Amino acid sequence: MNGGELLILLALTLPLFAAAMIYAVGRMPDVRETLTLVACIGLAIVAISIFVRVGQGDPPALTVAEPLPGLAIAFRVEPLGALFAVMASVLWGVNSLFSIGYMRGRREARQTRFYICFALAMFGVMGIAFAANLFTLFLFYEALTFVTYPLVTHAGTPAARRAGRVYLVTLVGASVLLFLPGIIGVQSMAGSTTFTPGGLLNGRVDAAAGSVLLLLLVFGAAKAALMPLHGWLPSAMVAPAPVSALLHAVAVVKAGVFAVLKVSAYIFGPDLISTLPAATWILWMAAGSIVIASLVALTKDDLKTRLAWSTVSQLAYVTSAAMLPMASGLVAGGLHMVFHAVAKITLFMCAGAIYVATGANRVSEIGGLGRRMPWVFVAFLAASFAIVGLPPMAAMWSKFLLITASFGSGEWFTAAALIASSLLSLVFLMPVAFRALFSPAGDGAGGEFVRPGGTPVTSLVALCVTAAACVVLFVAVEPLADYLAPIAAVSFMETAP
Amino acid sequence: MQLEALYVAQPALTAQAPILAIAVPLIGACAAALAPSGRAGWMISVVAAMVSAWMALAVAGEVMREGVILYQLGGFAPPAGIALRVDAMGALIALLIGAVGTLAAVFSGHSLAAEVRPEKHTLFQAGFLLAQAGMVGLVYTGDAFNAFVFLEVSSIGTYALVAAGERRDRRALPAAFNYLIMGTIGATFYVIGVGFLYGATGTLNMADMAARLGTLDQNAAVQAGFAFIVAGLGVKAAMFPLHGWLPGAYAHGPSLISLFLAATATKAAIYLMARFLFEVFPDGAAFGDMFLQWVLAPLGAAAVIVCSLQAVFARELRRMIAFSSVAQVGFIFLGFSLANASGLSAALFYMTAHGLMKAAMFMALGGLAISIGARRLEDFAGVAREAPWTAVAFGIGAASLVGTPLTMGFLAKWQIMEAALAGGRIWIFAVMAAGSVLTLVYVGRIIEVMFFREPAPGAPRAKESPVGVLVPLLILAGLSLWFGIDASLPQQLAQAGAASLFEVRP
Amino acid sequence: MTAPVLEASFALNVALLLMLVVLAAAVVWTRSLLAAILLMSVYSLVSATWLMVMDAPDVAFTEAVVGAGISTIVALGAILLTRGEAVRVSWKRQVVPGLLAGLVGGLLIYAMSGLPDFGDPASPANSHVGRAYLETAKRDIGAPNVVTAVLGSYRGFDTLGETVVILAACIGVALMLGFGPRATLAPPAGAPGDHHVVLRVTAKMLVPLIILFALYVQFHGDLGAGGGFQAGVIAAVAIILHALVFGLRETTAAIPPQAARAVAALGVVVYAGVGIVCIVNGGGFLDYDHLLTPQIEAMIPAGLLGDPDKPHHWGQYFGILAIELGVLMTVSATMITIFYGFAGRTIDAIAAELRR
Repeated sequence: MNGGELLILLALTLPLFAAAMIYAVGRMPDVRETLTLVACIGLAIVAISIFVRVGQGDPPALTVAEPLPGLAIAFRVEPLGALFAVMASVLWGVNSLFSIGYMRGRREARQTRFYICFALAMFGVMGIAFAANLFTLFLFYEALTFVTYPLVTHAGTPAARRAGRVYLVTLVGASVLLFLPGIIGVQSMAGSTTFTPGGLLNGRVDAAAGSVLLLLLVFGAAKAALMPLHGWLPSAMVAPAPVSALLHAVAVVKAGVFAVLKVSAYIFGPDLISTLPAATWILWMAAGSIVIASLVALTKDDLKTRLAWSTVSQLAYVTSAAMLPMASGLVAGGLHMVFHAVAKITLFMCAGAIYVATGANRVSEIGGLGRRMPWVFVAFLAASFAIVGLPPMAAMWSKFLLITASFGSGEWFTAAALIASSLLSLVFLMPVAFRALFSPAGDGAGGEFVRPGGTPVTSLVALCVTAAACVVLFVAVEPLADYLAPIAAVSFMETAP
Repeated sequence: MQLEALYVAQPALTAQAPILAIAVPLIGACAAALAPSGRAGWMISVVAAMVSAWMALAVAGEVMREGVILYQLGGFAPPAGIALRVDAMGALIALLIGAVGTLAAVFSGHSLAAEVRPEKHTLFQAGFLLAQAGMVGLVYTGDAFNAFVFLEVSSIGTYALVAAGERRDRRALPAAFNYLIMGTIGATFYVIGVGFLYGATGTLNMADMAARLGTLDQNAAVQAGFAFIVAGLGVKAAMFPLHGWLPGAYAHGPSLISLFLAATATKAAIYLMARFLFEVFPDGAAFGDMFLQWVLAPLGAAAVIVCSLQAVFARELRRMIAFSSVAQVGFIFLGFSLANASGLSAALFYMTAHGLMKAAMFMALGGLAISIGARRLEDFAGVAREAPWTAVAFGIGAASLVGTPLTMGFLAKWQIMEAALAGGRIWIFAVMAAGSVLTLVYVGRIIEVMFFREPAPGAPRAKESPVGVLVPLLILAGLSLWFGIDASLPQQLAQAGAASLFEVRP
Repeated sequence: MTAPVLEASFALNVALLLMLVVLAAAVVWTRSLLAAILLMSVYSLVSATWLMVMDAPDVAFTEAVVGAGISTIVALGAILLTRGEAVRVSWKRQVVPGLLAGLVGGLLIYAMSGLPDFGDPASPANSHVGRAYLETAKRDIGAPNVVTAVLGSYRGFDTLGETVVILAACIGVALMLGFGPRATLAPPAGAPGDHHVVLRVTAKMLVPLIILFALYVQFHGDLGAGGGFQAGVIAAVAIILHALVFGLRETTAAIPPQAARAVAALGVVVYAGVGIVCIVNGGGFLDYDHLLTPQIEAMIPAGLLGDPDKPHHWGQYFGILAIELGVLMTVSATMITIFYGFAGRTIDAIAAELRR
């Protein structure tokens, strides 16, 4: 077994092993949480090693089993997957730090199960990130659905159970009825489902069959929450804040758009995509998704729900990027996947920090709260800037690239939707921070913290780290874009106008 | 997993393996009937079934090495004499029968004690072994009339065995009567059909018949023979809408019989139908194509949808699984109706997968039936807590039924759906997808009740199955998982079997 | 010259077939189950006659023995346990079955057009394997009756299977009806109200004669119509007659139900055992040419069956003899078991069992 195989095996088994260990020491919270953090650091190191190897042109690969000829459980890392894995594993660490404060501060029940499910979710994410073919991706994609289900229903209330049912039915239903048939279609057209640079199906299907497959695969990846299959995401906000932060801003939803990007880049390929009418239809639907979700976000008073609708809108950015008849769209989509993740996890952690300290979860309840929780709201403001796409935030770059790519390929309505959505997010996000920081008096101005001492320190550290990352990544965008360039066979300089 | 690695026998024994796989359980049945006690009968049953399975393994190994093998009975060359003719397809199904039969025989030790009167045990084991011998014979024989004889050997005993469930459930009696009448009609139709074919060809040997039927597809007797054979075997195979006997027989019979029949009985009949459809009847005959296109495919689709819905709305657990069996037969027929090697290979693989998963599910219910006499789905609430291992094995079978990845059922569905797409039959693909979702609905209901619901207060508590049940049960469940990760063994046999059928007349 | 003969046989055929049609209609029409059973028995007898006319004595013999004989007895035993009248079914519920039956009948008639004429020497059945049997049976098997050669040797595996079917029926009936209490059939001899002296005396004479006849049929199978199936049924009839006249208790004292079941199983063991012996001696299953080792064959006196100069197939001869014995055992014991199962199971006995 060579080093590459070992690394992949480690990335997959480490979360599993961590889950088993957390189960074993579940009665000792300190040991349990230390273990979680150690596992996070270990996984991040492994993911970064893989990331570096891919950058050096030595992508690790591993075949586990081949139940049928042409149908293998196999892994092979490419730049997009390596980036996804690094993003998820690093943010898992940050989020775990946040969780410790949040879960203890809220005295939540079933904390051991909570940490186990998180570790298992990471197992699913690693499998998705490194999958060498659609079939393997599908396996881990489904696993991710099932291990995150207990997290959605964590509260155990009827509302949580209802949300859990919506979650399962939408995600499993879409993947069984749409995604799986799509995979079988690919297998029957191409004889395999291996992700191939330039597109597996390129030159093997006509426009009609290709369109059907594209629709099946894009809508089948319901984790990407493209309208009309977005309903599960806002309703999943009944979960605790760390779950919303990591899973519904980073791991689960990003697994959806990651699948869409992979399908676009490696199953269809930019050349084929540009000839498929279905790609244009999906672009229209994504544009609709972007604008409508932003509008709905405006009307929501519950902070996490508002953020969730914003996520729906932002995910559609990435889907649009994957469908643009221009290769540079893929790079923009990959970058936006990362930058949005960093910004959105910050926002959710802020929402969690506010909730754990004051019990407030509505926008209308936080007037003046910024005076007492300055760090939280500064971080919130920074992340809001990122979502809107203002400098000096990294997300500015990805949005900028996306808009230029849309104009460049003549898809003016996508560009228009992107601009409109930026303006709308300005309207629904900025007032939150402004109201807390600059409104002299409001509901939140007086009174005591629910939790003595306010936000736990670990949680505060976590959200500050990610807020800082939004800025730091602003300067790191060029190397990142170059790293991703192979997926679209273009370089950053070409993508710039 | 390679067959060659599994198979160990002397060459001299291998030469006789096909007949021994039939004769050993046959003589074992007589020995069991003569056994002094139920315990002795059980031991005879286990040993005979095991030897039969071992011989089936030897045959399968030989078939993989040599291709089709012939065994002449009485030393007369066919068509004058009867010959066994085993190809990869027969080897696969016989292996399934042998494996399930052996595990079922082990399981029967505990199950019979709970469900059947002690004085009947020896005869019960005898009937069970006869059924096994009959099915292996039916699969191995190369003679159309001999197949009828073995069809009857495997059926006559099982009618009474189903009725023996009356100690636990009085409805076993009408169910067995229904089964007897329907089964006899099916067998009669089959033999009428064989009679017509004999009249038209003057031979009973299937290969010889196939050679002589080549130019006879316009002959009225041949056409009527086709209709009678297909309808007769359709009854035996529970082809929709001729499946009326099945739900009752599976739901009310003793666990041992439900499990053995569900895993093997319909498979043997389907196997024989495949032999006639793709081997005996003239290739490209208008009536054959018409049947596949306009009868088998729509009926298969109807079975998938209608019976899955019946399973969704059924109230008793065993009935649900029985309806599911009819629906699964529909899936298999959809694979047949593609009328190409990949469709047939996929259908054969599906038959194996379904045999293993249903055996595991019925065996798990049999294990639970030792401690609770529950019938309705709600009565199984929370059994996962009291009998975790049994419930997990049931869950694995159920997962395979749904087509969860990493189980054999997934690969089975995958292959049929891929073959349907490759053959351009989008509608079959769509029906299969819809059927899979319906399966998910009713299996989801069962899993929810078993694993996530609290037991009703005051309800009888289930107990974990005894070791004698758990071991065969976990082996069955393990096979469903193992073949989901490394399917080479059934896959190679299924592929070789389908290929050999479609190469008979290229 | 031949034309009038053909016409006579044609008239006979028409008459017999018309009788069959009328009988079948009557069976469907009547609502008395007893009448239906007796009419079915007559139906079997007429079809046996018809088969005889068609020059199929072996089949005719079996039909007479099984159809007219033993199944009538079993059916009569069965209606003792139910009521004597069939329930009237409304015509609406008969529409679909009627249509189905019509469809099947239509298909059968359609198929006739594809079959060769009766007795056509060029028909596939008469020219292919059937002809081969006629040509080779004498050489391969040595039995004068080709039907026996086919059933016992060429297709001996089928016959084994059929014997196993009989055993399966035996096991099935024994499982369902073979246990539990039962009443004696006839009053014990000398009991008050016993008027069956004549019957008993006659039966006492008849039983050994019937058994003797069964043995004749058994051993005559080599030469003419007969064999283990028919002989087994006839032998069983002797036992059943005994039980009817002398009471079940007397009969079961002589032949206990367990013994009958054991003999049924042993019959199959004998049959399959012959097959296994052939394997052990280096042949295939049921390959009678390998039944006897050369040493044993050398010990058989050449004149055992007369003419010492004629070449004999001793393996075939003893093989068929042995398997016919197996068939006899299984068939007779099964018939007795089935009869035991029904006999004495009065409504009262069943009710008592249900109460238990």
